[in-house]
Amino acid sequence: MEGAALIADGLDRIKGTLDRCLAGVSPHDLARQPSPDTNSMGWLAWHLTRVQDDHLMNLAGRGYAWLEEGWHERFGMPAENDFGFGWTPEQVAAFRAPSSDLLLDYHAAVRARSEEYLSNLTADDLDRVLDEPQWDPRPTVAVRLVSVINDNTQHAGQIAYLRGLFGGYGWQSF
Amino acid sequence: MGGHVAEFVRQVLERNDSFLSGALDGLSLDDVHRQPGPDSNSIAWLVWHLARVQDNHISAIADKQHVWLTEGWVDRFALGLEPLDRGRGHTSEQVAALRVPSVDLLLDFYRAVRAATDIFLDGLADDDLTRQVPAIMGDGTVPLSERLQHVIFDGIHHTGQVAYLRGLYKGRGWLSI
Repeated sequence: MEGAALIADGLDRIKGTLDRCLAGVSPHDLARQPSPDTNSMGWLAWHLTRVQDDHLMNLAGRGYAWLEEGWHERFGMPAENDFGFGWTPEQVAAFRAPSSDLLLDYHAAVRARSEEYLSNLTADDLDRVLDEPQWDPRPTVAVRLVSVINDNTQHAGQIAYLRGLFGGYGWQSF
Repeated sequence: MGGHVAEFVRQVLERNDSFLSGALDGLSLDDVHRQPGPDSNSIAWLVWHLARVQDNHISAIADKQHVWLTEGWVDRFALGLEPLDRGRGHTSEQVAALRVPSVDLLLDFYRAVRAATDIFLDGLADDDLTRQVPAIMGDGTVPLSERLQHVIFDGIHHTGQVAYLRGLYKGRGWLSI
């Protein structure tokens, strides 16, 4: 097992959490916020998937599923590589995911592209330094993957928490 | 010095450490015991649980005692639970009843567990990852890598929840990205 396999397994767990948490959740519940400036389940799922799409496709040197596969149109959003960084509370509150199926389908599409990238990744690739002079020290591929795993796993945990908050105890079997 | 994967795991956990300490910074005992819904986990419960989960995994795969017991954390927390309880399957009543003596104690316990994890990672070679270790529920064995995955996933999953609750109670802007 190598670092890339560890990442791939982590992404599988994230997808599994989303599948369990979001299946059958209504658009109304997807948009629910426990307070005016907190993130909804729909926004969190969209954001974490866009982060994975953006970060891994940048590493792979490929275009984004969001744009290349037309997901932005299905979400009714502009053809821009926006992944939700720095959004205001008003923007988050206004965000509407059309359906949980669409969120899960987009996530599955991104996951497939991530898998393709990770399956070809070698130990040497992980040490490659990225051309991002805005960071000191410049990050490596491994550092970027560490960020994605942390970001995505945190947000998946938040979705699971909200699912329990709105749906009550017992939605998840242990 | 551990192998490549050990180093990778360490980086993931270190990043998580900074999120967790940032999310707990300046919180009161009332904050950490608050529940946004009657069945929802408090920050105190989440941090205790995620640290205990990591403690349990590392003790099993390193074949050592739980830090919770050997360093006397069980007495300092005085939770009134079975000594090896780590929160799995707790009822809503148990979650609501969990009270920690101080916020600092939570972070101190987490750091003690992380220190034991780092010692384990120092000695972990890439070849060790396929070694069979006891399965989580004690039924049979699994490759060591599988339990390591749980350490990472469970810890970050719950740290994300702690961070969310921090934002819910204290408002946005605490996290600089």
